Amino acid sequence: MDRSVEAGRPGLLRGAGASTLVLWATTAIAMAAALYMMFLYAPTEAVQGDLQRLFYVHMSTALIGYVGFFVTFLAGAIYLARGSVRWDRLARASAIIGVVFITIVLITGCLWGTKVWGACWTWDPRLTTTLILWFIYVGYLMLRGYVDDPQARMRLAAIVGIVGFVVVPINYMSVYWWRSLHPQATVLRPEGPGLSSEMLITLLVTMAAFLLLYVVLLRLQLKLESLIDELGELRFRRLLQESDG
Amino acid sequence: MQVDRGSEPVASAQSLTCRLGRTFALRDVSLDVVRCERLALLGPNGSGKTTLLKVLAGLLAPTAGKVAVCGLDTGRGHVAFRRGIGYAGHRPHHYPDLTVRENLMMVSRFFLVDNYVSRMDRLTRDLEMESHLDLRAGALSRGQQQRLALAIALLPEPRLLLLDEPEAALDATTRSRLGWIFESHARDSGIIFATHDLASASELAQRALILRRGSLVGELPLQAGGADELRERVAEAVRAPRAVSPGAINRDETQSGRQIANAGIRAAGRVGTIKQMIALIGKDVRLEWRTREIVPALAVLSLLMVIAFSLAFVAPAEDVPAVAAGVLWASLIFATLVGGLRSFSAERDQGTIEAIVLAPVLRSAIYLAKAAVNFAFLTVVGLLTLVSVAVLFDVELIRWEMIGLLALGAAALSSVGSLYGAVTANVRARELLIPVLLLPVALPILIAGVAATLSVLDVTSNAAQFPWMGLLAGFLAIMASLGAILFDHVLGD
Repeated sequence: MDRSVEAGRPGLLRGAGASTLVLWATTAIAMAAALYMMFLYAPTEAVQGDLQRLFYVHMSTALIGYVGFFVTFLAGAIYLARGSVRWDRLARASAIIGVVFITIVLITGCLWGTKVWGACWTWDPRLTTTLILWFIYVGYLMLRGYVDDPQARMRLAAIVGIVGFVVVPINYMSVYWWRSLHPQATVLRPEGPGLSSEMLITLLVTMAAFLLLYVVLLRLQLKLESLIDELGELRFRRLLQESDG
Repeated sequence: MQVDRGSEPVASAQSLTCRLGRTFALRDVSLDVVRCERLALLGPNGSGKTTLLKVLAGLLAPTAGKVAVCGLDTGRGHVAFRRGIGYAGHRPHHYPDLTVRENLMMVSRFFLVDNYVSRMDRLTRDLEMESHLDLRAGALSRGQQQRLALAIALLPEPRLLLLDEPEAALDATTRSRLGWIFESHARDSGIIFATHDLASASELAQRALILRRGSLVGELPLQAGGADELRERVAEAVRAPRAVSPGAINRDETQSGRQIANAGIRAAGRVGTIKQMIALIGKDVRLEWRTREIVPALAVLSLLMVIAFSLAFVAPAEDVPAVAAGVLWASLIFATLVGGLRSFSAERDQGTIEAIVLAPVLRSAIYLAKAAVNFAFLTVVGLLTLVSVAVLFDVELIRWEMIGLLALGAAALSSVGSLYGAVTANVRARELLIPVLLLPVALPILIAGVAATLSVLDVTSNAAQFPWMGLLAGFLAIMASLGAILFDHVLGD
């Protein structure tokens, strides 16, 4: 790579290989396409009007949130089996992105609900489970800050990540059965009478764009984590040399 | 005692490196110890002696390198090797609220010692502890506690005895008898001990390894009365400008890397594991019976929660049964948070968790035993809460179906509470973190418990259509399985 070209790049792209550049470009194009389709291509929904366009972002971020937590669960299990730090980094990076995206889901859901249902929050099973899931992985990230020993931190975080994800279906079923029965609860779902083909295509394109964004963010977070580890290692070696010297 | 250096080693460590945070506690250390051999570890504070003993005992995982004891791997998932190890470290491994006799009996059950009565009699006689047998271990003096630590380490007749400053806190008479005690109770064992007392080292050991900053820097043959010469040699090795590579130590003599055969040590079978679990459960129940620490506190806490909730919610008469059901299960969840945390944090604080980890007990068995104890305690607390809710809310909760439901809920709560109690036992601000981690995971129990209670009370007939008890049973099965599978990683090394 030409060094003068390298130096002229923005900080995030400095040192990036061809595959990274292709990924970034594809993601940018996909996001632009998603925005175009959300606002210009998809038809306006008859009942909710333009507000319904929030649905594409809401659904896509929810998907990425769940994918993020699934990757944390999987990477945690592999870390426990193999003990490689790489898997722990992946689990943590994915959990951070998952929490950020689920936070967006909760905020967009609240905005949407306020207009459509007249309430920011209802105890709908899906909403409740999503909130519980968010708490589980916020706890996962908090735990990491409370353990000093790196090995113990990685092990315990992996366990919490695994148990948290395994109980999600149980949580969902219990909340679903419970809230569906509860006489006071009003089960409201943001489901229209069915999606038109334009809406469906827009949703799929938005989901694909957000999946690409997840991969980009994951790679960036992983790079950041490995740089932090590298820095710690360099400091450690310097301390070692000083103590030996 | 004649040492046959050509015989099979009881312990073999190859190229051990152990990094603790930002320091290398051990760097490329190799050693072998054969039957009947006494090896002293010497070196200044922070040279890695304790870390080396912990790695050999399987309490600490090396960053690199391998350890085998009696030919058995000491890596994660292996427990059989622990039957061959006796260990006495800096922290006591006895329960202060159990008597000396109870502590020794507990160890003999963990290690499945057959002739434990005669072993206990001989050990307590030779360590002059006969008159202390029925005293609480916590009431013993520091020196007497050290004798108890030696008795615990020697009781299972270990092939490898690991002692960290065994002479510490002992009176002069007992110190002078240490060699005789080893000869009487660990004649065939390989013994490795760390010490700063060079006179003890030259009296007790045949060989010394000198450590500095985690590296082996010298190896010396020892002879009785050679303390002065030893002092000079140790000072010389420690002052040396650079550490001697362990490769420089005569490998023929240390026999590193030699394949060693399994010396007949086997893992506990199914019956043995059940006996060990019974010993673990019995220990916790006995401790609770003696201290009355957990159940009364949880019962009072639950009652206070019932009162707090009943004051917080103003419910119309028709909603009282629903509120009562919610209060009952919410109180139980709070009791689980506190009880689950306590079960492991007490072990961590006392240092007795090391005693359990050192025992040749499957980690899954430790988890199941702890969950069983928590279940028993929580069931008692739950029944007391049930009665108080029934009386204070005037709801007909005292029924057989409710007792069964409560027991199932307590089992489910114990399965998750025990796991998260262990996860948070060794973290900072654990009392703040456990509710954050445990509550979201325990919510299905709250939901199913309340719904099933309403069904029993016939408040919502629809609730009866759903398998709430099945949900509780499913949750219990999944959590107990996960706990048993993952507990090896929770306790770590």
